[in-house]
Amino acid sequence: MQQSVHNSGLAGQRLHTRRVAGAFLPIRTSVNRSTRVRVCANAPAAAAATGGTPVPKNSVLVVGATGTLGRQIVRRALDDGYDVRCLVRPRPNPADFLRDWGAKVVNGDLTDPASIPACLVGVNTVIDCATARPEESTRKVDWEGKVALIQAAQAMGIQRYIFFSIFDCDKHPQVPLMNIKSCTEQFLASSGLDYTTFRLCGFHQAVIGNYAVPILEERSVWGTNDETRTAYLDSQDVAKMTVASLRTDKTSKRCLTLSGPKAWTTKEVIELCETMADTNAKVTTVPTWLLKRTRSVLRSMQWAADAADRLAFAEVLSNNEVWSADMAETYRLLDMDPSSVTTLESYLQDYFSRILKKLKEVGAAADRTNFYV
Amino acid sequence: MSTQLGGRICGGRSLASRCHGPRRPFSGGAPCRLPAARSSSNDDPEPQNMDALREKFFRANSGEGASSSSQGPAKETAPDLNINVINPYELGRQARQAFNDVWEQLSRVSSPTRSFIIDDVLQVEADADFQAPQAAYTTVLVVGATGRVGRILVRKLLLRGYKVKALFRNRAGVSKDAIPDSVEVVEGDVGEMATCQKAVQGVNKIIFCAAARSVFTADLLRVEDRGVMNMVKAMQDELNRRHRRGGAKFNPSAKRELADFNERFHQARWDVTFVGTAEERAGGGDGEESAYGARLNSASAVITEDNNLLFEGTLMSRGAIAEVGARLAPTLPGGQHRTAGTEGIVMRVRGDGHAYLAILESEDGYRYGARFPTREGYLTVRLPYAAFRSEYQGQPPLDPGRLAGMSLRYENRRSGGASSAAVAAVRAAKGLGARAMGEAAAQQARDQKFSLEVDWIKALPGGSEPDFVLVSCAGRSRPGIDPADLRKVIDAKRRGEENLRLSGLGYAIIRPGTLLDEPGGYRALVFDQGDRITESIAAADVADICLRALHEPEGRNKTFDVCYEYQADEDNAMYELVAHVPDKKNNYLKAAVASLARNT
Repeated sequence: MQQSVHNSGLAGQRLHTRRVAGAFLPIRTSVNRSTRVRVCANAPAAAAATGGTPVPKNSVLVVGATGTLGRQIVRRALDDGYDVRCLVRPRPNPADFLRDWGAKVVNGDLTDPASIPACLVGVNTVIDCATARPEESTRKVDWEGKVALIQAAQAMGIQRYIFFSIFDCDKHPQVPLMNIKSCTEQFLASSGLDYTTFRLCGFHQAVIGNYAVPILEERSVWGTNDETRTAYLDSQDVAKMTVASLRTDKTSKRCLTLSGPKAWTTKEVIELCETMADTNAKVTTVPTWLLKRTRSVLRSMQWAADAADRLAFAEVLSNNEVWSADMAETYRLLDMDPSSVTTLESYLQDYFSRILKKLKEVGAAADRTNFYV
Repeated sequence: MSTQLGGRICGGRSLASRCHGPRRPFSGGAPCRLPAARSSSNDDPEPQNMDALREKFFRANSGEGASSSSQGPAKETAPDLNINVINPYELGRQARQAFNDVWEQLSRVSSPTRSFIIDDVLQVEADADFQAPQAAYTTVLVVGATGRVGRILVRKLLLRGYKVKALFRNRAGVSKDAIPDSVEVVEGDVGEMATCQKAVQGVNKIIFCAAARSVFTADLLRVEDRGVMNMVKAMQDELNRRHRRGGAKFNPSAKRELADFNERFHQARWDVTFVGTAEERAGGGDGEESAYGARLNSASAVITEDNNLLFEGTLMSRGAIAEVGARLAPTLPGGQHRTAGTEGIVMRVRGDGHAYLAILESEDGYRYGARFPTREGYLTVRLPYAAFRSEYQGQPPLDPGRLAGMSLRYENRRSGGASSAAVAAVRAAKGLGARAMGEAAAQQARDQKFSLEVDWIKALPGGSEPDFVLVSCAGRSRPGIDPADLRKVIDAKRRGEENLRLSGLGYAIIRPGTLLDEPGGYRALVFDQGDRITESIAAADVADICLRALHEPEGRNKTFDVCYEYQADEDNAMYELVAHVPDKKNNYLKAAVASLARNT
């Protein structure tokens, strides 16, 4: 009971700040209070198993295994010899690639807390890289779902918990997702689990999706005109670092920032893609004030509240920060070589060369018209 | 028509002004189907979309449409001038589509930390660590896929795109998630030949990591000894069949016949080529000596009822030798060169405990010999060309493509009967008892007589990669097994290894230390030959080594131990331990195994 009181206190505290900041959202807070789930959590010491089969040390549960980062972590962990279990929502056509790799797939949903404890049976480590999809509510999945997951992990005696958060999430409480992530970090730190939090800056794969693919498809590329620099990192390297952190105790109960070797602005990234693809991109610049205005308009409507949350990040962009951190100590803790990390240029170079080769093959095949010669 | 699309046209008109200034109020007038937010966010960044939309809507007015569609050639001769252009559902759908596009772009722009999967043709996975270019056309059979090593190995193979076949004893007994669906399953026991034959169909390589579940001798023999033998035989049959079916005239991975005494051809050719002492061989002795020698030394070669060549005789002189041999025709009946590209000789003999010498003669007359011991009873002897020594210094190295003759020799190394009196005197002076002298005399008598039966002699085919990877054991004790049983297990495993070595397939035999259930890829590994390792190793590391050994030319025909690195203790400090970190990016196995001896 003690713990649940503490939980409600934390959630209540956050909601309290929101109430002060945005006095025009009374409806949402009441909705949340009624739908918050109470999961009684015992102190972790009492939750230690008193008998039965010992949990094998190399069993891992990956939440969010179908995502960009999740699948890389699953691959890496499988290759290193872990027994990987993936928490996946039940679907009529499930993603079979996880099963094809040899991971075990269990059905569960973060929005349904009753489905979580069964998935944690016989698991030693939980790696949480799930987040809400754009069409879903951030609050339900990223806050309530995660709280339920952490409390279930406490109850089941999980030995190791890895959580992925966002860089500098505690500095931007006005952005809902950042606020939720930082509250989750604090909650995890106070839960008593042996945790490690990784704060991420950005993925190479996002660069591919946002900039490289539109350039190749000759669509217009949307960018912002701010000077925020992001140090992109390859999700495979993040996976490597995550699996490396499972082996040592040096990273337990710590919050580490993972950032790439160099920080880039949007303009620089677009220029880089243009040089590599040898084309000129049609760049559409979205001014930051537009995003802010749109957001303020949407916030005034209840049905567009989630949409407004998405645009909240625009506030951060206008600060022109540098999203990068010194990784020397992180590399030392993880026993990794700093030069083994892929840079954005080499990643894009590799990608474009393969894509252009593939396009040439496809184009060459399509040009062939003389079938009978 | 234009009034019905009033809302849209209003939006377009406000676009024409292209302002960064104060926003237009919502253009009311005609019922605006779009939510208010749309027009407000539509000011600047929509030129392309609006052009496309305009083109869609105003396709009937071909003038306007054609002007804005500068990219499309004038092929839209069939204007879609039908009711769909003003269909409200269609318009609503297009409007929603446009809204979604804009909204998606906006939210994407404003949240760079949110990444997503693109299931697109243009998405190509760049997984340098998991690339195995040979995986596309290699099918691997994993025997023992439920074991500690086998489970991890199956996953690693699937991750890299190999086609995997697994042999199970009981498919229903294994939980459904333990083996993915993309693995082809063969049910049956490895001790039965029929199962093995079914299992090797369509398979290019075999990884054998099965072990007997108990220490009963029957189990051990069935899995470790007969299991390997069955697998090996089935694999060779399958390769043979595949090459025949493929139309090749001969099978490059089969052993080539040098002498098979079931056939008259060889029966007729093999004969005793020389009997006498070494001096007589080197230079002609005088007649008297050789006549005397002929009485002392005799050898004969006959074909027995079992169609074996029986080479026997008595050599009483000291240093006498007897040889039986034949010239080899360079090409086999099928047209294949007999020995080019091979890497050794294997023969099936029944010995008598003496050591014999196999001699190969090249076309230029150079002779190379390799000594091999025999025991009472049948055994198979494998002699790689590396084991053959030149007869004289300064000979060129053995060239398998230019072999012209082969023979087997027996030498009587011990003293002959002629000087036995002197020897007896020496022994008496040393104070050896009568029994010892009697034993020595009996030994001498045994050495003088020899008899060797040869069933067949074949040449082992060469190759580039190992075809069969066997996971054996290093011989260190593991928890839960007492020393007597350990001895039995090690014996069975060594017998299995021997079966594999003699088969003619390219092999890689890995002898790990005690297996641990740890994640691998972390600690440095030591590769060694010679039964000296003491440490344990993670099962995942062994799986990684098996995987890399599949395509490692340096690893072909090598047996090696592997374990975690450790500090050598004082006695063994003579040799240095080189440790290799099993990194995924570089090929550590090549460096590690390149320095080990081949054909061990």
